Amino acid sequence: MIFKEGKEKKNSLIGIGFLVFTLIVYFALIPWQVYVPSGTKGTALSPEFFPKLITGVLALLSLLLIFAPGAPSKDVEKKEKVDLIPFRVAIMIIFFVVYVFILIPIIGFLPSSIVFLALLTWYTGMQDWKKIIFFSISIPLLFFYIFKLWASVPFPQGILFR
Amino acid sequence: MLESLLASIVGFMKLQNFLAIVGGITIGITIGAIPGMTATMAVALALPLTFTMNPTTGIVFLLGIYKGGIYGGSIPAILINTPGTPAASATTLDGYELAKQGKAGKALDTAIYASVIGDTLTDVMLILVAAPLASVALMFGPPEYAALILFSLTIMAAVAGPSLIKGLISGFLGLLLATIGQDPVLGFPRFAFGSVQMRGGLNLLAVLIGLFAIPEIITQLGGKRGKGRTTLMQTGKSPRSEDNKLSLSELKGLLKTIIRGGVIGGFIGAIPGTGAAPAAFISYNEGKRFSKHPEKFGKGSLEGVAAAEAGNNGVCGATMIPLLTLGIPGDPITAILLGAFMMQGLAPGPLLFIKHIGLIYSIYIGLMLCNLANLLIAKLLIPLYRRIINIPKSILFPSVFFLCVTGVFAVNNNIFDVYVLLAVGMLGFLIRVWGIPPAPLVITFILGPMFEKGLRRSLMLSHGSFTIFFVRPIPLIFISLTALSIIFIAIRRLREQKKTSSP
Repeated sequence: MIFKEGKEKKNSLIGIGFLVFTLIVYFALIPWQVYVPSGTKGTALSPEFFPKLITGVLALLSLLLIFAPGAPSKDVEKKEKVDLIPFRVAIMIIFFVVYVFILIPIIGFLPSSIVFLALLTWYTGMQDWKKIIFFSISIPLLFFYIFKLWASVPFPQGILFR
Repeated sequence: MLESLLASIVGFMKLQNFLAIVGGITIGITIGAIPGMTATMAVALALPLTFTMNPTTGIVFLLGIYKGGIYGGSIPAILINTPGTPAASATTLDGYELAKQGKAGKALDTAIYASVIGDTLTDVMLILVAAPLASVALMFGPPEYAALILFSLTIMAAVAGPSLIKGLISGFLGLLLATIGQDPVLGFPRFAFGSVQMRGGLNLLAVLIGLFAIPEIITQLGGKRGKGRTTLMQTGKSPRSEDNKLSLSELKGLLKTIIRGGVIGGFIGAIPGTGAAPAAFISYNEGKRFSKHPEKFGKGSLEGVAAAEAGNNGVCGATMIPLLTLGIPGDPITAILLGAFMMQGLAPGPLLFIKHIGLIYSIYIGLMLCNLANLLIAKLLIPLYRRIINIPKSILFPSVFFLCVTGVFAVNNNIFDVYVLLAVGMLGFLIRVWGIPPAPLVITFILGPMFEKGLRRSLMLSHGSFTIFFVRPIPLIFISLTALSIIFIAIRRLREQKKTSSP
């Protein structure tokens, strides 16, 4: 029986997910994205040799996880129980994505970091506006100038300020 | 010889040399403690400052940054589960667990003592056996490399956690991620999707920080206890004074692990092309293998912190062996140091020992004094760094995320690396939720390209025959050790399984 109760069912599902992933990599991604020069196909010299070897083993391990998920010890049960609120996690990820993919390219590194830090600090519970303003301005400014002046790092300026 | 040594000691006693050591160590520790800034980056950035210094002062200044930087990475690894440098990745495994138990002070003390003892050990090794050790390391060809890395890959099982299958999945996922970029033998692109940045492969630091820091930030801020002015007080100073420092008896108990780690770091560091991160993981693995309490590893073991730190700092002295004796840089930092020598008009190699023996002795003195300075300065700075624990989560973790982005961007000045950081961070978060440990992934991501290169080059040499690994003595030894290790792991796992299944 593949599907069992609780944790074992979860492991079987993870195994199925990985098996599908490895099959996609093996049969679709490797032929599409790994260039194999003529005369090397099927040999250790071929660039696809190592990725195929790895995905083969990964598929085998996925099968093992599906059919023999094993009973985790009490320790694991305790450790894996993460006290997460899915809505808050989703908001966190949206914050990160908006900062990296939208704010930085548009308004540049320093202003976007100030806006990002102020909003995230406020969202995660800091109510004192003086502290929010102090930290969200001082931290980006400090590190921006350390990296900029000492390491000459050319931070993105953003399309608005270029 | 004695005359030259005495002359070097007298010549070294200048204020500028001591200032260079203190300044180098302080800069190194501070930069190493900033997630995203590596010791390599710190040494590279400081290189222009040495143009105006004399050779001894300049080289000693850079060595101070190197040693301080490698140690400094352990501070955020222990306090916020974010390795400051790749070399400190193994330290997170037990360091952060100890911090969560309120033993951050003890973990930080263990890290500094292990780093300094491991480092001193390999500096002595450098002084005593520089030339013979380098010649052994130079005998390593592709089959020897491949067999050594294969043996190192058995580490996966040591850090796999309770589920070996999940640990191995994580490890092989790391190997697969490492294949993104250029094929290491022929140079053809793999999984590049037509992108120039993808052809360069995934940035190591982005992967490391993504796997360790981002999931931690999401968990801390996305959890029930993430809201409000909560701090990481449970990871700060414990009310029990014995939790805040390492006692002499505890240090004595760790000495074997530290010495073993230092020797491993020394041997790995002497092999060109390896580095501090693999040394830390190999030392950690061996620490667990020889420990009387292997079950404590990964759950807050002082031995785990000691093994990882002795291993990574043990590399520092040893990487100087091929550099000084043969002029071969063993890792990126020694490559920069080679540049520093050349800019001073000096060429490391056998001739350096004949023409500039005084400088060699001065470097030896500098290395030893750097270790002493590392211990004293770190002990002074630790209370300062530990205060970050008392910063509210709502300020600390958004700032850590900002630092991760800044540091990863600064490595190559490339926003693509930040995208990798975010993508790997999401992957790291998912595998954490699924109960898959991230450590095997990190290890194989670092060791994978070396293994592939060694394996494929060996097979090219033998026209596809695997017998090449069995007809040469060094690969045969490592393959036998690998087989023994697998048998040992299998027996241990079966015993553990029996224990858990019995009522």
